[in-house]
Amino acid sequence: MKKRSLAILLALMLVLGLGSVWMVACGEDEETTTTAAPTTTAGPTTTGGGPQTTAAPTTATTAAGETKELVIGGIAFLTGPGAAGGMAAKTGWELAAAKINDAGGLKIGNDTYMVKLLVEDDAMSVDQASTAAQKLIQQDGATFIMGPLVDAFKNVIYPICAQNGVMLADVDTKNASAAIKYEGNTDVSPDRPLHARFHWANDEMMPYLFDYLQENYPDAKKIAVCGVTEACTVALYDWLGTTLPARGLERVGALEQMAPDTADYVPPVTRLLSAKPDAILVAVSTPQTWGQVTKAARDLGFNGPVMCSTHMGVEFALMIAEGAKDVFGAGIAMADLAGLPPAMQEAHEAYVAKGYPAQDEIADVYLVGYNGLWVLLQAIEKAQSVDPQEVYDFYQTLTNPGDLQTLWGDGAYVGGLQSTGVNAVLCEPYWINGVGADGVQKNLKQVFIDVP
Amino acid sequence: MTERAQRITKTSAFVVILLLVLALPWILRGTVKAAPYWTHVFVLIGVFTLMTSSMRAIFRTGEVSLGTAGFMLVGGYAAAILSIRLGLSPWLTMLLGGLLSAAIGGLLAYPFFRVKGVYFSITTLLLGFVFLYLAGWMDWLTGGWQGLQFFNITPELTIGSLNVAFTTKTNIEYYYLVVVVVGICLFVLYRMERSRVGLVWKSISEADHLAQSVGVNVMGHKIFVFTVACFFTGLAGGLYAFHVHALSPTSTPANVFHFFTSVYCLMYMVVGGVNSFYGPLVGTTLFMLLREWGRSVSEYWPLVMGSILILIVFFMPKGLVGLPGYSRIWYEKLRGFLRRRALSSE
Amino acid sequence: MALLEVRGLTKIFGGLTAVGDLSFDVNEGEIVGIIGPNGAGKSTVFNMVCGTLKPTAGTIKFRGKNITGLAPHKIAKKGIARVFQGNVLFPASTVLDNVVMGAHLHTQLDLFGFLFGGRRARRKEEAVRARAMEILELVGLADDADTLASDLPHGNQRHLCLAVALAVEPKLLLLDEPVTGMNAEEVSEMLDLIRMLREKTGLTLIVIEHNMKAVMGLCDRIVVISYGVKIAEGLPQEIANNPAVIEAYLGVEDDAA
Repeated sequence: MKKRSLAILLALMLVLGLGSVWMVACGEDEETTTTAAPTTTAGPTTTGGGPQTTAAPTTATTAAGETKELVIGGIAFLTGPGAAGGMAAKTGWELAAAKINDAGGLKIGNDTYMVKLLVEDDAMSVDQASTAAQKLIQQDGATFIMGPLVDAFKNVIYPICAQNGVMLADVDTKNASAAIKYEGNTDVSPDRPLHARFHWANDEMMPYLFDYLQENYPDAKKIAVCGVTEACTVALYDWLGTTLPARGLERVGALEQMAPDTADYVPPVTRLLSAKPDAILVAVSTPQTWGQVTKAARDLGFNGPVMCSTHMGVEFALMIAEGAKDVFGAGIAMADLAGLPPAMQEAHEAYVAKGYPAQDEIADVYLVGYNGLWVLLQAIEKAQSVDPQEVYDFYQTLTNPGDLQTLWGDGAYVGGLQSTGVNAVLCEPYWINGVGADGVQKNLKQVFIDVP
Repeated sequence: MTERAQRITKTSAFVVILLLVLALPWILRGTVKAAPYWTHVFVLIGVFTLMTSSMRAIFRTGEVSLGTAGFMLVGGYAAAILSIRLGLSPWLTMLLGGLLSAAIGGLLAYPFFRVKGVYFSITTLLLGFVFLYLAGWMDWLTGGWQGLQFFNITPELTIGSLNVAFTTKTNIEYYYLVVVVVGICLFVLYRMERSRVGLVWKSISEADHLAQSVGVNVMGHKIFVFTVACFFTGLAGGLYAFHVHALSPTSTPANVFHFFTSVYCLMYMVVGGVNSFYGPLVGTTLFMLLREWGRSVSEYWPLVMGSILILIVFFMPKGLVGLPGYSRIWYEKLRGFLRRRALSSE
Repeated sequence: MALLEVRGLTKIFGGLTAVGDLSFDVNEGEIVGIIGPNGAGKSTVFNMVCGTLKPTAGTIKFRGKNITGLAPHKIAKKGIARVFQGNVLFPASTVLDNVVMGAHLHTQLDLFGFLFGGRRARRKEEAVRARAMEILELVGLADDADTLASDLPHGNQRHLCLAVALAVEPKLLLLDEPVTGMNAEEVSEMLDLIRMLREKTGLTLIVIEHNMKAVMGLCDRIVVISYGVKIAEGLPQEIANNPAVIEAYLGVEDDAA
């Protein structure tokens, strides 16, 4: 009896071993793509023939050329406490991909490419981010990777992309550009080929916030600085020490850093206010930080302006700091959509059609994601190639104003050679949103972020 | 039936599995498109197998430690920091990380083992959080909440003119590194369990008062096994660190150093089978493959995992390693049921 | 000199004196009974002698050496073993493994030997197993060596408890209620076994027991405690006729008959 059970065990282990390999093989077949994958396939894809037929319709041949798939991978945090932001970015990507596909796909040469978007979860964990990137590139055959949203993970993803000849498209905001020197800076640079940026960085946005401050609050001279606990926040604080005096402003007090899971914002804000500032700058913010700092500051009797350089709808901040006034920052106020460009109106209609609220507090995040993918697809179409290297090279030549379109307005182009060492940063219009003294949420000012 | 036949079956099973493990990268290369990706997954499986087996070693004395993620963090961070700051070789720092983890574990073991059962689990759980938050707040040492990144540091091996760098390019080199290191650790754990020490652990878990009365230094043995397990867990942390090249103390549940990792290890152990040495191996491998396979539904993963756990606990209390026995019982039950039905319908 | 000298032993739990100023001797080769009503503090005395509890005051000397407050495993090493109340065994282990674990002190924990299963270690292990089989034969469980301890019938489990304690090769063995819950036949079997052990190995025993007939028949000397205080000590007949004992214990306990 014992012998038989051992034999069964042996057989079972063999079955499990083979089963796992089969599982692996199946997982791969599930999303078979017809795109030229960067990795080689040694074995024939005869394992588990079922799913393959489902991929067949997209390979229909037309007289003009072939209809093919272009696999673009996205990496965002889809689970965990930050999931709302990641899901919003995913929604934005989906909407942008749908827009292109509905219009008939990308016309490249004689071929038509349908965008196949695959979004993986990094769960805000480095190994998951790394796993997701490897899966997207090697298994799904993605040749362009967007994200991840967390700056630190970009360094984890980038080597994997570079090794596999995949372009890393940084579509969301960057906390600090290459101009801010610190260990672990994740910006594009000459020694990071295939890495391009499709959005501005906080330090590139800040001058426009200061312009707005000086225009509307001429008496505000002393600025206290706070932000999320990160190396880039410290570097930004140091940078502000020279930048602010150059514009006739003053940086006061020490930097207050807040961990992402801070529960009580009163102590750090009390320390901020002890320097008697005229205004507070949240240099790097999580979705909560701006609102929480505003709320604490108002509770403590501070009435000066509170500004934020991480892009965010002011609705989100005011959801926390209810009724606060004189709050502004980089972002789009969805309550004030009327004056915005038609492309954005259209995007937002599609967003609402998917069942999301029209004045979604997190809408700003999806817009940035949408915009990033849209611009990337424009670059691919203009390059007339799906090869990551060719697209990357061509992207760098789109230096004339108006070469690219964005949701925020026209006139976008690629720049950044002087500040980052490589011409791979999108220069685009953007908005400052907030509430003035009247307490109405609106888009206060359009600016053009010109990265030299 | 005979002992010899048993031994032959066992040995051949072992050889087959060993060959499968050794040939895995090549099997993957031949069968799947994304071989490096799956190799990477198996590297993580190796690391987690070591952690789960270490947890089980502690469990042999009857206690469930939920500090696994915390000690992994200590080992991983220590290895990374020593390599970054002092430029020491990753080979050395991985070992030192394990030793530091063991030292901390050894020092804390005495106060921890003053309590038993759920109280012990809670103290170790809290310790894991302490390590996580220390890593976040001690930014002068650990890089703070931002975490650490060290892509330029990889273990290298030079044999004669042959230089092997354990990069993430194909993951194959690192896979074999993990197979060798984890293999040695598992061998040590296996021999311990099968020797007198293992018998002593078992006696402690079954009746600690009786064990004491026959002369077993219960506290001493518990401290010993905890220290050993912490060493292996720390080593697993080092292996993890030099594979992923980035560590962060983010307090999101998905962070590998978060408490959930300990819970996952516990689940792997229970699902695989706590009473068998092979339980953690089977549980970790299957669950992590399943998890990777079901990536597209990752939001529902905790739900799936919980359901599987409940089903296993209800229907297969011995875990997956008990499947051959269970399937025989189920088969007999089914046969009996069919026969009864046949009889009653006549 | 007595094998075990207990002087002024006291244990106070919170405000409750479980054992108060207890003194008694146990001589080599003797069987001493400790009796008393439920809650008299008998098991507390055992726990203090074995080191499970630390005495509040008093000293315990074993073979002339002070062992007060030592850890249980150290006391076991000195040569005091114990059979617990109820069948405390290693339930999920085989009968043989139970005894092998009992022989823990007579094995060596080789830190490196076990890694490679050296021949010397294996030979030593075999010797321990052979010795365990001898002990099982002594208590009459040799045929059940491969049975799980929890699968044994109640009476045999008690024998196994004894075997585990014997594997320690103690000078002094403490038996906590060795025949409680047994039928007459099992009781006499157990008593015979205990007597046989004493004759064969020269073991000294202290017995806590409720079964008066068994205690009277087995013990050379009896110590009676009530509410933690010794109220009488002497030969079984003396105890049986002591009015204080009768009042405190024999008169009120039903199972005393």
